[in-house]
Amino acid sequence: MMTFLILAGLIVLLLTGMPIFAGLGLTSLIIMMLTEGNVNSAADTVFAKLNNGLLTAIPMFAFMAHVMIRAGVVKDLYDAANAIVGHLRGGLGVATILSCTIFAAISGSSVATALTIGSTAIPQMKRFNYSPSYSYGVIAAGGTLGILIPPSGPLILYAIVTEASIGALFLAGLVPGIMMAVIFAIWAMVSAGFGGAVVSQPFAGMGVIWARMRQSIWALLMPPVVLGGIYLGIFTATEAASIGCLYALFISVVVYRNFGLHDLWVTAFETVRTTAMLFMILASAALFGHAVTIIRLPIEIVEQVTAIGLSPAMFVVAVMLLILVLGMFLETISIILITTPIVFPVMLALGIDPIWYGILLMINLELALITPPVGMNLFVIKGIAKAPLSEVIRGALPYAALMLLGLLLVFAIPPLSTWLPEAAGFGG
Amino acid sequence: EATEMRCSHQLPPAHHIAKVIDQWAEEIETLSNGEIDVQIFGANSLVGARENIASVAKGNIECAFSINPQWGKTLPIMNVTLKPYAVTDPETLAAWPDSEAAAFLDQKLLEKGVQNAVWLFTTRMTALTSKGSPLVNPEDFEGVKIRGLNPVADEGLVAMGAAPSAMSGSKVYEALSTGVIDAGMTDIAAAYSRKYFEVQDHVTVVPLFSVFFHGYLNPAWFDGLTDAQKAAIAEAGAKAAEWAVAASEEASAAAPEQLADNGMKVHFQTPEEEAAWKELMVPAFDKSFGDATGEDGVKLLELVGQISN
Amino acid sequence: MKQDHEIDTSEALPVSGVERAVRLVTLSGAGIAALLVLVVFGVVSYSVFMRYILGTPITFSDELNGFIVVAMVALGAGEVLLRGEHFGVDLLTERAGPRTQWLVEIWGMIGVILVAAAILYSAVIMVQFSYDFGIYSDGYLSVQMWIPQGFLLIGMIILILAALARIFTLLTVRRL
Ligand code: NA
Ligand code: NA
Repeated sequence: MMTFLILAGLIVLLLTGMPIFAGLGLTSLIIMMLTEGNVNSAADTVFAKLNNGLLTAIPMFAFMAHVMIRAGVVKDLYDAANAIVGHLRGGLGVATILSCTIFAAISGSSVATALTIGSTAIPQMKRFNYSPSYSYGVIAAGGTLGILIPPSGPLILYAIVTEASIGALFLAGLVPGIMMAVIFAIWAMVSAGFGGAVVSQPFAGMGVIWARMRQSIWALLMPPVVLGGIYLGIFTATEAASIGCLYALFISVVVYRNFGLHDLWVTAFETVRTTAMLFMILASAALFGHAVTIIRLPIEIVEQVTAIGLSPAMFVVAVMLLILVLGMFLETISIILITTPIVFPVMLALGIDPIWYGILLMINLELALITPPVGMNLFVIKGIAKAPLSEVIRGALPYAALMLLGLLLVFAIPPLSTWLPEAAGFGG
Repeated sequence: EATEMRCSHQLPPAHHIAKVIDQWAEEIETLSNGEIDVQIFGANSLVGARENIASVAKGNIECAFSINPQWGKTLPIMNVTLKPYAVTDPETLAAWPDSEAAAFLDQKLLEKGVQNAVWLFTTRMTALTSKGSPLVNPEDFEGVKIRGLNPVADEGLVAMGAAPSAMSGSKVYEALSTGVIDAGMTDIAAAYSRKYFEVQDHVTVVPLFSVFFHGYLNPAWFDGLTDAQKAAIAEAGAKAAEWAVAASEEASAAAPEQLADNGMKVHFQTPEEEAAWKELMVPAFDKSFGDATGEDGVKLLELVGQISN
Repeated sequence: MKQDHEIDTSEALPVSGVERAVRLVTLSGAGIAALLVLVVFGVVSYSVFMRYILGTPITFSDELNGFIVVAMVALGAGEVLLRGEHFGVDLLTERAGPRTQWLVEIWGMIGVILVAAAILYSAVIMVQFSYDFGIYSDGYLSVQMWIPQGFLLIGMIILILAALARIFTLLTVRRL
C-alpha cells in the first residue's frame, strides 16, 4: 500500500512536467520531512552517491562517442554496412540495423545510437522510397541496441547500484544484444514487402565492399579495441573508455584530419551536458533510495514476498510487468534508479542472479524507449524526420512485440545472458 | 514508547559479523526490556561505509559500525591493531575489550565525537595471495602490486618492497582479475568467500595484524538514555565481543583447507619467516604510526604492549 | 562532414537581462566542468600508462575521479537547466496552451529551487561539520573532505541562481 502511494505520488508529480530530478528529489524530501522531521542527510546522500570514481566510465564513453560522431566516422560506417547488405530484400533496413549494432558497440546510449544512425539513414531510406513508418521502426528498434550491446551507460548505473561487476554485465549483454539485432534484421527483411515498395539495390560488388570496409576500418576496429580489453580482463570499464577516447581522438586527428582544439572543447562541453543531466537524476534517485530505506520499504516488501510465498521466477515476472508499465511513462535512467534500490534487496533474499536480472531489465528498458506515450527513441525520430508521432509509433510497434519475445527468451533461457560472463571467469 | 536506534553497517547479511551484529541488536532489545528499538541497516543500504562516522557524529543516525582502518587520517590512532604481529593471538583478543588500550581508544573516540559501544574482532589471520609464485620471503614482495589498507598501515608493505594500493574488499576480486593489483591481502575467511582462488593460486597464511568492526553511537543520543539503558548497551557489547571472536575463529578455521581444495597452494608462515618480516615491517609501521599520531600513539603502543604477547 | 552542435546555440525564446547575466555564471561553471572531463581523461590515461608501460600503478586515480564527478555534475547542472535539458515528462503538458506551458515551466523551476535549496542547506551543515570534525578522505590523497564537498554547495548555489533567473525571465519577458 505504502509502495503504491509513494509510486503514485511520484508519478503524479512527474506528470506535472517538472524536471525528473526535481520530481524525484521532492518526493524524497517530503518522505524525509514526514519521518525524520528534517532533511539533514540530503547532501551526505547525494555526495556519497556521486563521489564514486567508477562513475567516470559514463562521461568517458560519452566523450568517445561525441568525438567519433563529430569526426564523421559514423557516415563511413553506414556506407560500409550498406555496401555489404544493401542488395538484400529490405536492404537499407538491414544495413541500418547492422550500423546500429556496430555503433551500439561504440556508444553507451540508445538515444545517441538512434540519433546518430537515424540522421544518416532516414534520408537514405527516403531516397530509395522505403515507407516512412518502415524506416522509423527500423531506427527506433536498432537504436535501442545502444544500451544492451556494451558499452552501456544504463548497465554501468545498474552495476553501481547493485555492486555487480561491470565487466560481467557487459559480457552478459553481448549475446542477447546480437540475438535482438538478428531478430530485428529478419523482421526488417520480412516486413519490407508489406506496404511500401520492395526496393532492391544492385549488389555493390566485392570491389566496392572492400573499398568501403577499408574506409571504415577505423570505426570497425573500435569495438574490439575498447571492449576486447574489458573482456580479456586487461582493462576496467573506465580505463577501456579512456583508451577508446584516445583511439577516437587518434582517428579524428590523424586519420580524418578534421579535429582541432575547438572540436575537443565542444565535445568536452557536450559530455558535461550529458553527464550533468544524467547524474542529477542519479543524485535524486539516491535520495529516493535513502528515503524509502528510512521507512524500511524494501525490508517490508521482502517480508511480504516471503509471506505470500512468491517464487523467485514469479517475483521477476511481477517486477518485469511493473517495469513494462513504468516504461510507458518514464525514461530508462529513472526506471533503473527508482526500482533497483527497492527490488535489489529482495532479489538478494530470493537468490536471483543480479547479472541475469540486469539483462532482463535492459531489454525491458529497450522496450520502454519505443513504447508510447513516452519513448525517447520515438521522440528522437520525430525530431529528425519532423514526422507525426503516430506514424513513428506505428512503425515501432512490431519491434516492441519482438522485444517482448526477446525478453521471454532471455527469461526462459538464462544461459543466453549468464554463460558468457561465467565462461570468461567472472565469478566474484 | 521505545527509543529508536538506527544502526548502519557495510556487511552483507550472511557475513559472520553481520550475524553477530543482529544478535547484539536483539540482546540490547531484550536487556532494555524493549525500551530500545534497534533497527539494523546492513550492506550500505542506509548510509555508505565512508559516511557512517560523520552520519553518527552529526546525529543523522544513532549508530554505525566501521572497521578501524576506515578512520584513516581522521583518527589515525585507530590503526593500532594493524601493527604487524601485535594483537593477533586469541589471548590478546580476549583481553582487548577490558584493556586500558581499549579504554584509551574509547576516550579518543569520545573526544572526536562518537561514543564507542562494542569491539567486534574479525581478522587475525591474514591471507596474502598471489599468482605464479608465493609470497614467502621479503624479496618476493619486490615490486609486487598488492592490495593495501590505508596510507598509515601500508608503510609496512612498502618496507618489504611492495607497491600497495588501498581498495575496499568488494573491489579486490575484479582488481586481481584485471591486473590492477598482482597480490591480494585479506582475512583468510574472506579469501575463500570472495573466491580469490579463481584468480590466484598461492596463499601465505600469516598472523599479521587484526582488524575489528566497532560499533559507535551518537554521544548526545547516548547521554539521553537512562542508566539502565546504558547498562544494557554495555552488557550487550561485552557479550558481542566474545561472540565475534568465536564467530571469526570459526569462519577462518575451515578456510585454509577450503582454499587448498580449490587448487590454491597454502603456506603457513614459519617462525623464521616471521622474524624476517617483523624486522622490516614493525619499524616501518611504528615510524608511520608515530608520525601520524604523536604522543598519543606512543602511549597507546605501550598500553597494547601490556596485553600483547 | 561535421555534425556541429555549437556551444552558444541561439536561444529560440527571448531571455531577460538577469538571465543573460546568470548565464555567464552557469557557462563558467560548465566550462570548468568541461576542463574536468579532460582532466579525468588525462588522469585515467596516465594511470593506464603507469600501470601497463611502467608497471607502477598510481594509487589516487579512483579517489580523485570520485571528487571530480561531484564537481562536474554540480558545476554543470545550472547550464543544463538554462538550456532546458533537465528533461521532464511532457506527456500531459505537451498539448496544453501557452498559459499552461508557462505555468508548468514556473512550477518546474520552483521544484528545482526547493530540491536544490534542501541540498544546499544540508550541504552547508555537511561542509561545516567535515571542517570542524577534521574528516579526511580514506584513500592516499587524504584530502580534507570539506573541499570536495564544497563543490556540491557551490553547484547548488549556481543551480538556484539559474532557476531564479529563469523565473525572472518568465515573469518579465515571456509574461502571459
Ligand atoms: Na552500447
Ligand atoms: Na515508453
